[in-house]
Amino acid sequence: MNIQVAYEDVKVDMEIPPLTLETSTRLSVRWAAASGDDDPIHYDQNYAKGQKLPNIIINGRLKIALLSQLITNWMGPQGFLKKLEASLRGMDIVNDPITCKGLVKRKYVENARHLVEIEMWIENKEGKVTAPGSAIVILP
Amino acid sequence: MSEENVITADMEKQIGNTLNIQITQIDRRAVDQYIAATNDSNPLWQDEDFAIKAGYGGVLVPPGLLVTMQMEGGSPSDYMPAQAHLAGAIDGGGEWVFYRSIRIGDTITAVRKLNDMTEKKGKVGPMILNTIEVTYYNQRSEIVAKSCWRTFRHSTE
Repeated sequence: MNIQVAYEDVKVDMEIPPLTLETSTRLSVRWAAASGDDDPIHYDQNYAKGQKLPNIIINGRLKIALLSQLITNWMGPQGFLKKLEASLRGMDIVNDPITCKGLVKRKYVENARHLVEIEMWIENKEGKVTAPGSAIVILP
Repeated sequence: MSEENVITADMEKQIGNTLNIQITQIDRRAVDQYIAATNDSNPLWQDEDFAIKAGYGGVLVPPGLLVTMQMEGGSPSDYMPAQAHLAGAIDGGGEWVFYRSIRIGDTITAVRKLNDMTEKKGKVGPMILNTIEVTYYNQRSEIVAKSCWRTFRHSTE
């Protein structure tokens, strides 16, 4: 994240270094504090199971924040995250690791700005995609 | 399940309306809470010298912090009272477009508007899909970001 990526060095199909988060109830509680979303399905196991969920589920917005981190870690200090999009398709369960991955899909110049489009997603420990998304960054 | 419309006239009236306006000053504590929740160790959010050497006036606020602000202003039933009889909201995802960096100390005004409401078929019956747009302004009335967020709600408890 301290290293600057230059537009000229970016190649289509290049992999973005993955980001893995070991989830936990503690982290879920921290997200509740940071976001104000105090729905107990995100930190109370008994409540979550009472709602017919398999266990505490990881807040979808935390997953989207992690996808933004995947990009800001990669693009370097002079990069600018222009656009972020993600769909929440599947549940991630507490104590399971989640991994954010990405691939460069396109690079182009628009209004003299160097833009890179990235396809990204979150995988659970079985490799199932639970949150597909995309991003556009401006690089020097 | 009856055949009557899930989207009532009262609910429909809110489409296009501003639902609420939330003003928040972004302080160091909010950023630290975000970092603690995401393990985001990027020095741009924490290391003043690093941020200054990178050409900024000081540390920046991570763009993902705006994702934490999605729930501010209360639950959907608070700002859409015509939907208070519906079951809890399920996040569908969304899109953020960023125009400017945010700095600690900035005052962000979030203007929340209901863009659209459609009926969808769900596994346990009909659902409503709300599309909510939020425009974020800084204290200089510059747009710093816009988001478009999708929330599903079941028509029955």
